[in-house]
Amino acid sequence: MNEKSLFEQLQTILLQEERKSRLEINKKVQDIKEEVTDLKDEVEVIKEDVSGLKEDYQNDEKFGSKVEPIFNNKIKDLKVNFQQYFGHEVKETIKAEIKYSRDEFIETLYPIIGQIVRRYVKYQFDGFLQNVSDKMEKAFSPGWYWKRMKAFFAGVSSEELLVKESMNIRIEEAFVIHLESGLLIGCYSSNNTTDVDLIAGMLTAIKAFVQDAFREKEYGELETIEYGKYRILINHFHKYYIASVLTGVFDSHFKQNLDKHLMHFSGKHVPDSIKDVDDRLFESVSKRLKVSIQEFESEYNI
Amino acid sequence: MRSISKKVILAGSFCVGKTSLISRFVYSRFPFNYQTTLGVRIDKKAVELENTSINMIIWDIGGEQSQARVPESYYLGSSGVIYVFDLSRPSSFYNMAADIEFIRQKLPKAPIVIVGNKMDLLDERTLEEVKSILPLEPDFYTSAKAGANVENVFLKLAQAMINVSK
Repeated sequence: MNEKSLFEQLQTILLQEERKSRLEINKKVQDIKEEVTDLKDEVEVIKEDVSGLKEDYQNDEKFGSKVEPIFNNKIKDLKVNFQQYFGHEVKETIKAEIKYSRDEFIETLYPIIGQIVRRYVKYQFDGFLQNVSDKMEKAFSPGWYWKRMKAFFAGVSSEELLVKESMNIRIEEAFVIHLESGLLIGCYSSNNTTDVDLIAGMLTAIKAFVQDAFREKEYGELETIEYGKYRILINHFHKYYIASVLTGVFDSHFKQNLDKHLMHFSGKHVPDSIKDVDDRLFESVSKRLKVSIQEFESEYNI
Repeated sequence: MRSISKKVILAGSFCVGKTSLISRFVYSRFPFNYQTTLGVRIDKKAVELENTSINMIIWDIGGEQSQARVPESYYLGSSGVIYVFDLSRPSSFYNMAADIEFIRQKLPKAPIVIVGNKMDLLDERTLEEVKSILPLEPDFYTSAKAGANVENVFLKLAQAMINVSK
């Protein structure tokens, strides 16, 4: 063994550990380099994402399309679970509002509730009146004898006579209106309504509208219009119709009597054929209508 | 003096100035805010002719593209018709001949006065051009805004209705 070989052997022995650790270090450095490269790639991807998001955010349409589904889902959820989420708070708020702003609350609701209540009461009362009438038809007692006699001579039933005073029925106005043109043939008014020609026209337009709207569904005529305390009863004749504006509460017997009375008036005082609606016809029909309604009111003890 | 009532209807496409013509004739004013007529509105005015007072009950019918779409019952009992179109809007007079024919079938005895309205929106040369393309010659060119010829439209119709009544 020569000197050189011995030296190499010695070197190998002495540096073996060094070499091993150098190799490990090199490997670690390589791993770190790779990791850094991966991280760089990831950063690039994130950068692109951020840039895309920035673009979306600045573009209303894109941003909307991304955000909309989230909002929609939330709204859907709220719709379904609103009561669960906010029911208690809403209840408490309304309670507090009603407690502290009672006057405003009543003022707001009264027009709606008031009308509903009034209609309901009127409806119930009509029913009640009808019920009383039906029962009285069958009833007999000496106590009612005088009332029945009085009613008989007045041409009305005793039960009608009894409740009539408190019903405050009133024929406010009556219009005889040409069926096709809506021209006013005659009128009676207890309170001088402003423009009876326009009322006649508009009533005819309403009738025409209803007729046109329901033509294919059902054959018929508009018979009643209700507005607030007024009830307009419409009686149809061949060439014209009579619209009577009434206030108060009345039953079917009253209506039947009025129908009969108007039928009688029509046959006697309104010409069958009307060529022109002129002042002579108007005055003649109006005059007779007034007498006729006054007769009816007197007969019916209104 | 005898007083006689007559139903008059104003027909024509939407936004041609029917309501404005009535407003000018009945109330002597022009409504600057356009409000479309829903369904029908009714006004009245009496005119005196030949010792007779004609109480015109004027039905202002909401405008439709074609008169065939107007509820049939609105025409019933009409003694006269004013058909209005807008001189500045050709689509309002393209159907004029068919509309007039339709009305004549509904109301064979009723006189019809044809009116080209909004004359104030056209200069003389344009007006002449429009006249040359009209399917029917109107009885009057009017401006409800300026009041031009409005009174004459209703007077002519009143006269025609008296003649039919004789």
